[in-house]
Amino acid sequence: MATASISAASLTRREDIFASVFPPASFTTPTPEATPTIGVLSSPGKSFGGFNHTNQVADGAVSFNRNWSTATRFLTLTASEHASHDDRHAIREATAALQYLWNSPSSRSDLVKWYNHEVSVHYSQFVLPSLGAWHNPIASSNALYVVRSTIDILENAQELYNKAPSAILNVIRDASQRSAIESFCIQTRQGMQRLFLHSLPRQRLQKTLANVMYQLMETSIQQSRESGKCAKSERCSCKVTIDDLSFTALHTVGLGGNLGERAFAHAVHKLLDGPAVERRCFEVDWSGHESVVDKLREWIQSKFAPFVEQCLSKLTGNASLQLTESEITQFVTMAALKLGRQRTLSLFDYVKSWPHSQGAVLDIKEYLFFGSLTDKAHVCSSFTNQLQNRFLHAGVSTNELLSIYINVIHTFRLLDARGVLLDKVATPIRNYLRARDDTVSIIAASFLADVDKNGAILHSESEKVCIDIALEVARSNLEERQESGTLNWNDMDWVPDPIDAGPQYKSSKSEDVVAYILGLFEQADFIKEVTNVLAQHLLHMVDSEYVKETRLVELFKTRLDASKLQAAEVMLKDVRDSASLNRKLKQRLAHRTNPPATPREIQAAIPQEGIPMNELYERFSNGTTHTQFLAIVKLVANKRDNVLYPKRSRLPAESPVKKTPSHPEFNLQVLSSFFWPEMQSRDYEVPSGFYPLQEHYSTYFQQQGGQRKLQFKPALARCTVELELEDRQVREVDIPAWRGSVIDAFASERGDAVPITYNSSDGLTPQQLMDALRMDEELVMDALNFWTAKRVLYQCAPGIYAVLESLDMDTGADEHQEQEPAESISAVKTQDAMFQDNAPTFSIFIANMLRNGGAKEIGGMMGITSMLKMVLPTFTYGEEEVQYLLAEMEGRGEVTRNGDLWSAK
Amino acid sequence: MANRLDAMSPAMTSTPSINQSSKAQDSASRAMNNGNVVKRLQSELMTLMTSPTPGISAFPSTTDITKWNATLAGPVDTPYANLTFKLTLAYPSNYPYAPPEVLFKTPIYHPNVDMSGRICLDILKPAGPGKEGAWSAVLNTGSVLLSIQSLLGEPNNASPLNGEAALLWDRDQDEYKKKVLARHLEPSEMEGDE
Repeated sequence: MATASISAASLTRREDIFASVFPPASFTTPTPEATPTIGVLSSPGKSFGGFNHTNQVADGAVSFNRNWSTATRFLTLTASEHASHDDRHAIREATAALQYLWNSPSSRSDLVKWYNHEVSVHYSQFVLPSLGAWHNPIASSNALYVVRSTIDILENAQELYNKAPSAILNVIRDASQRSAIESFCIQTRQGMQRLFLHSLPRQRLQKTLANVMYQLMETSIQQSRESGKCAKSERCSCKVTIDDLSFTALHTVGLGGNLGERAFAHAVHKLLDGPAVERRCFEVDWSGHESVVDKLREWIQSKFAPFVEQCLSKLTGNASLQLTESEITQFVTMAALKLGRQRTLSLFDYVKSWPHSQGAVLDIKEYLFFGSLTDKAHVCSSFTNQLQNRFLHAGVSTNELLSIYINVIHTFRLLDARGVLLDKVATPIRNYLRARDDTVSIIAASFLADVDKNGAILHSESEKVCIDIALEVARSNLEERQESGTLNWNDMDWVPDPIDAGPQYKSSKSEDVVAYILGLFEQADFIKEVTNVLAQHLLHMVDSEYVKETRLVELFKTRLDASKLQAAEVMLKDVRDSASLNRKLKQRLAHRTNPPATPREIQAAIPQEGIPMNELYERFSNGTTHTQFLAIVKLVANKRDNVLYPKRSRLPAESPVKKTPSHPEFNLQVLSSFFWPEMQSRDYEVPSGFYPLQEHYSTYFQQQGGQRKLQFKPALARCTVELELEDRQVREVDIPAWRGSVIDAFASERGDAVPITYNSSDGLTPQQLMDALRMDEELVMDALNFWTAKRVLYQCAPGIYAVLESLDMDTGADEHQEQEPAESISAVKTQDAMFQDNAPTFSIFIANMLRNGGAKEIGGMMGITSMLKMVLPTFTYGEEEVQYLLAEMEGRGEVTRNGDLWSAK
Repeated sequence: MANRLDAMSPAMTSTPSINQSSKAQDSASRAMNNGNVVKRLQSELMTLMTSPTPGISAFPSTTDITKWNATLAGPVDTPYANLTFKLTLAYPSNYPYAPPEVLFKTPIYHPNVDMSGRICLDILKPAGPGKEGAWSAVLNTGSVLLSIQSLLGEPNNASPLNGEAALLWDRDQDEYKKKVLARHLEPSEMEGDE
């Protein structure tokens, strides 16, 4: 036997290492008892003592063999497990034999090897068959049972194998003997542990162990959470236990150690990567808006780490084992990363529910803090995917898009104050928003919307206003912008990680939500649209202060190119000027309409003690010109030192003053035509009473304003109408003037020029009204519908309208148009109207293009549409419009069609 | 309309503070040309379209606005009456300070036009000290085409590119007309030549 020659104890360490990897060598030779040494024939002398000569070697061999035999016989394991270890004599004999063998290093190792072999033979014969479960994959539901029974079996086997040595230990008292036996026990136990370990499939064992540990920990954590109280409290006091699996026993039977540690590590990782974090204790903090990462850290430090420490020390048998700070930090990082990834999965929901979801966003922020660059990329790509799948499609209204866009800005600015991440995720939304036609107008309208203190939109048209933008604008500060921006070179604190920095990272820093919204579009486009909306808005304004509008224009000036906002400024100035102009004009008008003061009145006004001239005039300035006043004063007063005293003279009797009918109140809005967007210019006859007023205003304006001329745009006019019907009065405030014009045609009491005569029996037809008022059909019909809905007019016969003088009149029609038609005709020209206006120009362009360029298709790179867009920037329409134009031109015989190709005739 | 054109000048004076200009590609093709040229050509085109001259028409040929095609009708009472001529115009990047390059695409028999369609006309040559041309920045596409149209009826026989035509013009108008018609191709007959 080769092993027999190994004698040096120094080799045992190497053997240990060797044995931990390779299965123990198997002994094929049975115990030496099979060939007992019964003495050597050449040593007869001792028995008889004749030669005084002792053969030392033979003696040693004999005693070795004898002792070996005794010891092995005592230690031999039998199938029945009934080897008698009770016989004190036998024990004593065996002890002596063992001690003898133990004292020689070579026989010591031989003995250990022999016993290990003995154990392994017994083990493979009697124990291993009961561990057959390990030959097949183990279902995780069954794992705990298998592991437990394995531990039991192995523990029993170990006990059995230790029975003989421990029987010796029970008997002997001698210290040196004890230590020999004890060290024998230790060495043989190591052998056994190796044997057990090698007899089981390692991978499967490790996996199963990990699985069992994980299951146990998870269950314990789940059960602990049922108390449910730590979800509310600031710290999580859930405990992790693993009581159902004795780590000590695992260690004893040798399944601890490296393998056990690895299994435990797997289990801990799995736990942290899931159940530990996904508990209710670490749910998003919807009420406190705080990150739960601190709570998580606290839990790991105070609850989880001690538990792991305890388990590990049991598993390795090393009681003083302690986790280092960095290991605990690693646990925290692992859990935080998991938490962050989990939160990221529903980031879109959090963005949607911003600002209530601040807690979740802060969690993700912590995650990014712990994580690496790939985690940032993960957040971005995951969010982009969520956006694409759930959001950027036709079913979402532009309002929602804008709201979410603002939320995205808020969220990602919280995640990353430098806006680098935001730039990445916002790009798809921005592109999508740009593709929407109505985005600009909604933004512009939102900027002008009135918001009350509770954050609700004050006026109607809520579908055209994005509340979030309105709130954001109300919140944004004009001054804030002054010192920020790209030019702040002194800001030494702020530098993004170079790898994160976009090409324009400097400028993206200080921009708030408003800037992001404004930056969505080309400035020119945006300003154009804003100007349009502002124009509409200003035209409909009643309040003459224009505080909000002024503020808005100032806001735009700080954010956008101030020089391009000239139009907006001029518009504001126009409306302000108009307000003061109206005031002046009204005063002048009052002069005319108020009867001049009579001499008697003035005389009565002069007190006996006298009054300064100016003071007196002021009282009468309303209605009396200065010259008139002076003339009267000469008549009725004496003047001394610019103080007037009453004259004592009688005045001639006065003729009764004629009352003039009151003029309608008339306000003027002067718009500088160049700066305002193109307005509706449909002309029609305004109510006849307006003409003298218009004329009066025109002349006055010309006197005031130098070169400028007034051109009235009745299509933009609004009026307030009071109607006196037989049984009721109707008052409609601030309606488009064409409605007033139409109802005016139905009036029965009028003085001067009448465009059309209405009498209640014949009624009026729309055609008559169109002719008389020179008004478009669209406007006439709108007005008629409006008044019919207001139950002022009714159709006495189809297509003939008459005044409904009293409500109980039989209108002859059952159905009432209850709802008021929406104000469909806006003041600013629509795209469609612009297209119709420009259609002739477009047609000429197309005709010339085809004549010079040959036949072309409508679409495509070099098609008619793209050519037209290129050469004619005002052509902002699509292929449909081109198709329409071509069809019209074909009708006029200007072009011909050949398949998809169109060519000039 | 003219005001609106100005407002839509393709020369971008400022980019929006947040990058990603929405019309980036759109402007890219134009940016190759000088913004002023584009602007000038757009307004010339607008003038041509809104106040057309009978018998003259021109339009950019591709999305590059500096290459145009033009169509001329031969002046009545000349050998070119009732004929249609195709021309190309190419504007240099310093237009209108340099003349456009104008070529006849339709084969034409004319004393001042050579066989490859080049035109000898003083206003099509750059002016300046030491140069004999008469181009001026006040000229435009319309006036150039008008000059060429009138050149058809009144050739400058003093400096002919086509000597035979110059001689024939003076001596034998009938023979001249025959030659003109023999050489001429109507646009529909030229298809495929381009």
